Amino acid sequence: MVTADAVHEIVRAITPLIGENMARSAARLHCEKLGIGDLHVTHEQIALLISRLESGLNVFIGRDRASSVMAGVRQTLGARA
Amino acid sequence: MTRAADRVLWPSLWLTTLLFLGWGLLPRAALFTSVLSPVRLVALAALAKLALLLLGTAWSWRSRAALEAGNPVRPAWTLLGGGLLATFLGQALLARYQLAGEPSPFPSVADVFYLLAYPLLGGALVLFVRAYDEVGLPIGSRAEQWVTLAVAALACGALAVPVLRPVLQADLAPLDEALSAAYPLLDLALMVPLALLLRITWRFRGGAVATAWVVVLSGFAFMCAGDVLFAYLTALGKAGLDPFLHAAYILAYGLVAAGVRRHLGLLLH
Repeated sequence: MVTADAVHEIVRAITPLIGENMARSAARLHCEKLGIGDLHVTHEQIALLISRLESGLNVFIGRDRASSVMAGVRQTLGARA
Repeated sequence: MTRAADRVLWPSLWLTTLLFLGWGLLPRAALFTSVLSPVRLVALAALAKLALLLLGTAWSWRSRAALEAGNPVRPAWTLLGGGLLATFLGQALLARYQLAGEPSPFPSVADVFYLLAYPLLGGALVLFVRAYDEVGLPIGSRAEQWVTLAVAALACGALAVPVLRPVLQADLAPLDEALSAAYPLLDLALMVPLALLLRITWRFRGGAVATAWVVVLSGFAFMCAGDVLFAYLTALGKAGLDPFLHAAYILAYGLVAAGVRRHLGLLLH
């Protein structure tokens, strides 16, 4: 999958909660940490990226809500792949 | 649920605050000398403060309960609720005088609860900062956080001098003077973690989390303003500015409650 498309989908889902600035910064930070390249991303890397961001969201919106938000992203990206 | 609470809370908060500002600006207006006499207004202020503090306490603890065990912000919500409850108890002890139309004693047992609230509220703010720092989101480097802390501490230190001067120069009994100095000093100390939390919140701008925090932190800012005003009025022995004091505290407690409600809404949505 194209990295920019996956990141765009994730950022779109979490922006209403943490703002676009933080959503982009957090996605970029975790992409770097996970070694996700600019062009392509694997399913495993997407799963890890979503999981990392979900952990970050837990303190703000709780595990259940974070899980619910990210379930939507997993579904969208899974269906697109 | 948040929208329903907002629909009631916000208009009531603005209306009550404006009422007390109006009383302070136009104390001789017919409204404030007949229908809403000073005795009735003080009683209304007491009830409004109690209601808002109780809501803030209840919503803080519901936020705690809505989080799973082991969530790092759970203890922070416990302390925030505890701090608001301590303030509620202090206010409740004074309310019986205010509802009876008698002057509130100072110092009194209520001050024990008001003072107890500071370490609880300060501890809550510190725990929130620590929890947000540990989740791995880019909330700023250590250097940025130290600079924010240093600037906030310096600003508070500089503010402490003009704030405390009239209190220390006033002819007050030792306990009165100690308490009148303690409140603004503790408020200024509270401003340091508050500044750090505000700095973190700025990075979440545009999101619901930031909105909720801005509302809560604005409440704390008005609480500090109210305490500084209270210290001045005690030192100068003036009562004419009491309406502004009531307005500051009502707005403070209301904003904290409304912000906590928004946080709860994020958890329950």
